[in-house]
Amino acid sequence: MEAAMGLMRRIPPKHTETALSALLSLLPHHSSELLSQVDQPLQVLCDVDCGKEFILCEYNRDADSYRSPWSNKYHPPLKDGAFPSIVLRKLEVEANDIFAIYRDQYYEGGFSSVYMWEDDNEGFVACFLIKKDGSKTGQGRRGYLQEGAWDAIHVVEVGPEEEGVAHYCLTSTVMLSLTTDNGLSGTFSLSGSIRRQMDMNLSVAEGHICNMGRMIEEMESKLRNSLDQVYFGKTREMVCTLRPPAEVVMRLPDC
Amino acid sequence: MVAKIDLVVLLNQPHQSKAIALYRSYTRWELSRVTTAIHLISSVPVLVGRTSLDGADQFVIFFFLRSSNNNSLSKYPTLTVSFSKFERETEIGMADVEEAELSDKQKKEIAKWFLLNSPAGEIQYVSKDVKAILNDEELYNEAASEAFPLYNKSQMICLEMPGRIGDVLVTSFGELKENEFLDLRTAQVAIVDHIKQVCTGLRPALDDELPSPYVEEFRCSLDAEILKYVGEAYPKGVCSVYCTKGKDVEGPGSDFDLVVVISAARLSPQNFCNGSWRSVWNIEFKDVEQILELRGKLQVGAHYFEEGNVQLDAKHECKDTTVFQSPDDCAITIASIIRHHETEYLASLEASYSNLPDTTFKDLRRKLPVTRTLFPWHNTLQFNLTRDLTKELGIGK
Repeated sequence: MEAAMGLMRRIPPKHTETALSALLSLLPHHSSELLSQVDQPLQVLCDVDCGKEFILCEYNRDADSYRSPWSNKYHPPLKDGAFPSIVLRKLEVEANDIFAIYRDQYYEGGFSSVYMWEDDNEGFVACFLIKKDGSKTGQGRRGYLQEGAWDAIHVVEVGPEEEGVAHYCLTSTVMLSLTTDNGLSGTFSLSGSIRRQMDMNLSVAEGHICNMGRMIEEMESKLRNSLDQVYFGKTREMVCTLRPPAEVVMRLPDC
Repeated sequence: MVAKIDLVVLLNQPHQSKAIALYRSYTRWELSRVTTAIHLISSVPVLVGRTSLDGADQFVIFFFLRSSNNNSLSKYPTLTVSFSKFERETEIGMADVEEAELSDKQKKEIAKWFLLNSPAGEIQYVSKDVKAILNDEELYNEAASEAFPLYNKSQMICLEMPGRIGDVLVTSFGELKENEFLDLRTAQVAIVDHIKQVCTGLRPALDDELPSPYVEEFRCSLDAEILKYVGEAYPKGVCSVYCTKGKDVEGPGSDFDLVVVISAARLSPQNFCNGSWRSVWNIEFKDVEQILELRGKLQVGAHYFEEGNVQLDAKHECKDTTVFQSPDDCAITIASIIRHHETEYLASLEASYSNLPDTTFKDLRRKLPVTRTLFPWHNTLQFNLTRDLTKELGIGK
């Protein structure tokens, strides 16, 4: 298992799906562990009842069916599938509506889904998912990207309410890949995934959705920033160590 | 619940060639195995679902194909497969026999896939993990002995030759035998241990392994110029010039090809960062036309893995031509053409990086919402109204 996670840290992120299915077939007895620890690119399915897309993940899966947050039905249909309680389902519906607006504001398109379920210690867990295809042929409005995908998974564990305060633990993963291709400079492709955690005790006066939403918004901005500044910055630094751009300054006049 | 669906499906999409999928059984882990098989055959990501409707012997399989030019998923026609009770029983009998583990050959292919996809300089780490997962020494050794030579040549790794006479590049251009690589600068042949990634011995190159004196004059002058350029431009660069065609040409009147290889790797696992730059320049010396045709392939990769896994993969190809001159003049012109293109390429990489935050990234996720203020979580209802209004009036955005 340790070795499997080691491999996942080294294999190019764009090959995550292939690598994961390869590991699943080599290590069938570790399959549930692998599926819960390795984040894979999100998939989308169309809810046949309302014609809206929803996102598939481990959290809305039961057997080989996935529950849509829009119609609350399993696709493909499943007998005895698990459902959240009526109270939690109400919160889930609200969260889906609000999160869709949030997604539209930041992503200008894409898909989002929120799933909730009760956990063992009187609290609940909520999973917020966003998938955006930013490619030229997808929903990239500016058309810079030959290929571009952003998948975000936010899992918030909400503890039981005590004296008006609840404990929130957010684990976020962003998987991203982008490729630009223009005739002059060839293909340029960056891909990566990072994961971070955040813990907070917040008053529930404004409601769970408000609290979780703010945490996710802050986290997404942080992750976007670190990908942009730190992670892409580091690979850029590497390119410059391989062939220092001082050369550019020195030599350009000659050419 | 053990049944076997042995179904050959031909997936045909305009932008995809054919992929053949074998559906062997319908437990989830079996399906993931199917997914692997499809990946390995066609690199088409596929998602498979199934259901048993009303207890009848009927299964539904979904296909999702990711098209090669965009990342969106499209739902492939759903396949419904019905089985009669009788068939199922027969299948169970067969399944018991065939339902064993992956075959050794499949395991080896997967192991090789992991090894070959190691980032620059990381195959030794990857191989440790692969070995642990396979848990089969013999199988691992087989996979390693096939994958390492391919990896070493594609990464164009550089090995130190014994006796401090210099470095040899492991490339397909200098390959004489699987473990013998020619170094023309020293006229030596390096004996290479691919798996340990070391040079274990040397032997002088035979006469018929070396280019003719006529070609060697061009090669040698070019080597000297490239060496000078690489020394200036790449802090850790290694280069070599090979003759890939017409090495026995004795004098003017015939064509020959030289290949310039530049390989620079920087490995600093302690800083969680590795990277490599590889250039291959093919130069055709065309005697009749009295011109030289250059074709360059540049490839840059970087991997940063502190609390994450981010990789750069950039490729570029370019072309140029110049006139046929004396060996020394050819060398100077070629080196300056290469310098020019590589400098330009580096600048374009820099430009791609500078475009990231403001333009490219914005198509994925904006820094701030379209409203340029943080999302009003406390007041979403009102916000929803405003949004509907802006949409209706067609303003904003």
